[in-house]
Amino acid sequence: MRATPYACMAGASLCIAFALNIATMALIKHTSALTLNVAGVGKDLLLIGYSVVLSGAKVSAAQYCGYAIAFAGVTAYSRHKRQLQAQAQAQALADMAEKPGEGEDDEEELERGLAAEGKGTPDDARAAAVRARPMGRGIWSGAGARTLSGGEFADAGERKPLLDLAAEEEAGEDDLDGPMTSSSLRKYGFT
Amino acid sequence: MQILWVSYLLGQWIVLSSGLILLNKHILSEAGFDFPCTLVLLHMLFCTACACVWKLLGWVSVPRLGGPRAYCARFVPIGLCFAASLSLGNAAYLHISVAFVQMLKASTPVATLVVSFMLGLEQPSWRLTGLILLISSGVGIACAAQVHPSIPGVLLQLGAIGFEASRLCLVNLLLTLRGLRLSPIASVLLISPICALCLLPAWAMLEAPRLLALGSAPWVRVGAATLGEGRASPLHCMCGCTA
Repeated sequence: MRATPYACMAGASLCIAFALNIATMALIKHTSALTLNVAGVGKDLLLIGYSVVLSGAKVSAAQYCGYAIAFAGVTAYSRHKRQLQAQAQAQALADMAEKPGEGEDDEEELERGLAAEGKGTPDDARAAAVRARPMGRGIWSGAGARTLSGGEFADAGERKPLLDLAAEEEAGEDDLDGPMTSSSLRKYGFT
Repeated sequence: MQILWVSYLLGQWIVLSSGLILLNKHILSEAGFDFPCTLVLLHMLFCTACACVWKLLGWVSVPRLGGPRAYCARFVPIGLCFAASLSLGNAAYLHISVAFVQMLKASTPVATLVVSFMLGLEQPSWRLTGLILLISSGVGIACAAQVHPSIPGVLLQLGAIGFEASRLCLVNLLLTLRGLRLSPIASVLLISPICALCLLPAWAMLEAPRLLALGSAPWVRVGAATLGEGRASPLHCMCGCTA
């Protein structure tokens, strides 16, 4: 019967997937999006190395050359992206210094529950901060993204607030609702 | 001390994320469990269960969503793309090696940029065009020089990358730009159930008949094992994984 090994392997895979969620959360909390990027690159190279050396994947010299070119491109893209973010962040800070406390309350109704914390913050600064956020490390390497349900970590990078303002917003967001009750879980269809 | 802690976190992340890829490759390809969609479905169900437990224990906060309609409008497109990208990516493992998959994944920025241009999230520029050409030529060379050429494998992986890119852009468009940021566990809680629902029809059509034809025993046992773990506490799972 082949079922038992399958069940064990599938079970291990499921556990690793969820543990990866927690590991990513911890990594983002204690380091930065950049760290996650670098870790992603390291992981990609490690995986290629492992696959070739230990599990006997056949890779030709021309393929290595192609990958080296693509790798250079991806690195350049990442640097370009980081520069843009730094600029946008500086701009946002400058804007904030110029006109503090101005806010617009033109959120759609849909938004109200979600983005209530956005009110009263300078909208331009907020928009710039949002623009400044990277598209996520998924853009960089797609590394985390491709793992099963590790997927959401792809954008994990963009959740690291770039401004203190953003951090305050996030804290506010967390305070918005208490622990989700079983009835609200049911409401959103989770049970 | 800080350095030790960060390197531990880094090491843990790298080991878990590459371990997951290698294990999935092993299950699907070497062990011969060629049901990519089933595997994704199991992951989604299990992660939903774990995240619900996490939420009930109060270890993660989920922002207010503004009703079921708003929830669907935001998360259904993302869930669809996520499900498609994971299933296609898993299916690709049946045809090509992990090393080649990683090389193809280098084209994710290209796909993401193209989708961003289409959705108006990013303005085309010479610099970006140059980078797109550079990356795609590199990936093109890697494709053309395959040792064991597999067109289905490449197409599946490129499809997965396309959906992944759409998903990243949709997350940007529907969540980030509207000021909604989610922690990884919160995203799992909100996206996995939708993802599982989106996968069900495809799974029922493509893999369920084949799986049932194998005899009920394997399926029942895999299912039972999953349910058993689903009930266990996440901490227990974590210990199980790290042990």
